[in-house]
Amino acid sequence: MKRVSKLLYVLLILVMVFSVVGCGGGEKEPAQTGDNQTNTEQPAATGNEKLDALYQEVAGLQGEEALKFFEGLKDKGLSDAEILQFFIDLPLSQANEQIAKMYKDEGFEMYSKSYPKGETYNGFQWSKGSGTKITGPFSKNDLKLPFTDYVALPEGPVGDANKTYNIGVVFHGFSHPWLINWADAAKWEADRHPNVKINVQDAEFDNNKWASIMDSFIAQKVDGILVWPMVEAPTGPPVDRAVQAGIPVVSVDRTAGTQDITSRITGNFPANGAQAGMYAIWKLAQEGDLNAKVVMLRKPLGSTADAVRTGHFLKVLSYFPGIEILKSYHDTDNREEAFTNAQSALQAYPEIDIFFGTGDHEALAALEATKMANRLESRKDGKKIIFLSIDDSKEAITQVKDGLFEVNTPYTPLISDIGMRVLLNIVTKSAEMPKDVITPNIPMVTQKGDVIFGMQTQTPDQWYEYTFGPALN
Amino acid sequence: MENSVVSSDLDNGNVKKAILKNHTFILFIILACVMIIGSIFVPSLAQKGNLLNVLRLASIVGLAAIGATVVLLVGEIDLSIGSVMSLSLVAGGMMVGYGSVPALAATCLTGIVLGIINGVLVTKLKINSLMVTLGTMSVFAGFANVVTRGQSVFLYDAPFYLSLGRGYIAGIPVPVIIFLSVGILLSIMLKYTKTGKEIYFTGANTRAAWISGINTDRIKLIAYSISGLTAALAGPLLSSQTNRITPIQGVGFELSAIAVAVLGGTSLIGGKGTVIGTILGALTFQLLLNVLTLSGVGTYMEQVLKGLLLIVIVVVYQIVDKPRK
Repeated sequence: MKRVSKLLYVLLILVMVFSVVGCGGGEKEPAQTGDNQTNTEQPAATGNEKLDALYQEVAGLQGEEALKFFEGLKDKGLSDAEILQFFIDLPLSQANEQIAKMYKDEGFEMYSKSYPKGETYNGFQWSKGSGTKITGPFSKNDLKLPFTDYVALPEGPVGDANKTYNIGVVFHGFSHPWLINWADAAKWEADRHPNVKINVQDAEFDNNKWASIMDSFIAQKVDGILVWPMVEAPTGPPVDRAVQAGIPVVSVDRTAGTQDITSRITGNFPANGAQAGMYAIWKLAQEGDLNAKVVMLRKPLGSTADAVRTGHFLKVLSYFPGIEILKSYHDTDNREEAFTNAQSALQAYPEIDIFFGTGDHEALAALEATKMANRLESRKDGKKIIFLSIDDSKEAITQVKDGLFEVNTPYTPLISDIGMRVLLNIVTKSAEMPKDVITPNIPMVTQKGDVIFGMQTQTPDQWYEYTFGPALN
Repeated sequence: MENSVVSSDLDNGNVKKAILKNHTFILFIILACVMIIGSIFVPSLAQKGNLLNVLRLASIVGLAAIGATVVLLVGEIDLSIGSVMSLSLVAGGMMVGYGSVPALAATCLTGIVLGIINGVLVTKLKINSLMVTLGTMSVFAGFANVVTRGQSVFLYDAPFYLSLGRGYIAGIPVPVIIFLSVGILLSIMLKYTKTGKEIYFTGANTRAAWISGINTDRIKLIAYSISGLTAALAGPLLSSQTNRITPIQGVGFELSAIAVAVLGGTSLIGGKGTVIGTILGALTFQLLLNVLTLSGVGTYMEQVLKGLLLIVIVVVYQIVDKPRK
């Protein structure tokens, strides 16, 4: 009898755990909508008078009115680049209370403000067709680096031709297609200079190992360090130690948790999120209904990529009260986890209009889960679920070409060559480098090439040569 | 052995005590409770589509757990299950261009070979299996990355390969059929064959088994080969879910496999456990995960609750196993 009562105690604990689970249940309350008063907070001045005036105009708009305003941007004399900048800096609206609350609760404002923005170095403008074809030194993938003309550095010795410059490179992920191509681009640039010797170390997604590699570079007194920090917080102190030891440190892509880093090469996270939001609204408008239920499949909590992209995506959506975020799932940059999350979403929600993935894995996992659940065309009137993908792997761009993804907003790993050139300029004192080197925004990719709020997209064929990862065949 | 404990209790006529001491029975009760209570809080849990999905995922982790069970039964441990899965998947992936069947054959063969390597290291070099498989876990995982240079192998042009993880036969997911087939075969082997009995004897007391004429090294080698094969078999079922093979596909899988085996009532010190228990363990494990995911507690809270629930269940086993004063 004693054992039976103990067993009952344990079952009671199980019931209690489930009660907690049940209380925190996944069924979100329906999206609440705001009134028709001025919806946006007082927009902060961006320094661009033209855009600031537009933000004043859009402040009181929502739904169809906001849509009409967005559709008229081209007629207001904005260039493609200015239209994208308008959406990137668009203030949050209170029109959709659920989204506005989520934006505040998750601290997206802080991420948005701290992420480097501004003009490209020396006003660089990227043009289609430019760049250099290479075979990835590590991956052996056929790649085309799009920005080899940016912060250009001629082939041959750098600085003092008689000196060997030792450069440490620390990142995570020879086992990750995006990251191995990141390492490819950095090594390709270093190999163009015979007096540059690099030591590439993989921290294998372990922040402690990342820190110990940094410390070993400091002990070796390398001339400079190029880094890919996975997350912000734990990467700050090792970077600080290197800088205090007089070693310049340059980050590429994500940012480290310190303001004292020598230089940061940042990608187009804000543009990715804003473009995904623009596309979602444009597509819904094409279909004639601005009401939609959205599932967000997201990268790890706390990563710059996730927060900045999601924040900018939500800002655009916040003007539309008919949008409901059903659920937001995080994974650990792992497609299998993202797949399980997508399966759960499909199980929990009989109506899903949009899957928004904050990375390559997430949207691809959602697509496979949707196909397996036979839900691809499960929206009202048999319409196809909309997949918004980010990160331009060959696999993802092929899905756009095949009409399975509606859009891809490219984000390339092939920017670490810029970081290597910036670092070499700093190490050799050849040129003054800015603290923040902004990489150009890339137009989104749609199957046939569309004009979205006045902005021309590119087709999969136009962007394919710049994509990363192995080809499907 | 659990079975012998039950029968001895039955001999004493204490049926109630025997049932309460049976881990499989307890697990069945827990599974039923999870199902009933979970369905109350998460209505979509009991939907047919969801249950089929739970069965599919339980089959993948369950297959690997069956191998882990056999190794635990001989009193050893296999921490390299995830890496065996990765490397055998990658080996098979290199053959995908020649068709699905050669790819799957290469996957299974590699799994067996890697299992034999583990077995040889444990038995011939007499190194502790925890350390051996900790080492091979790293070696095999490293090789998987070296061979592929970190790249994925896509499966878009391998429909048969994909159907292993995604297909249905008579409305039942293919992974479930594979899982149950392997489970039943191994269950019969363990219960009715001489080798099966020797596996239990070796784990219960290796020295006594050796003295009684059992070739314990051979038995351990067989156990590791089975573990290698089941880890390799689980790989294609997992990779076909996401249409690609990656060199890190199996990372962390060993912990789930061992957790499921222990959840199923397999003793960490050997000689006690059943494949049926592991099958139930896999179902319970996956159902718990499913409840947590569907209930929307969030990925990170899921980890906390998953760990806590595993501990609770193992505590239950300890309570019922404790001899009466």
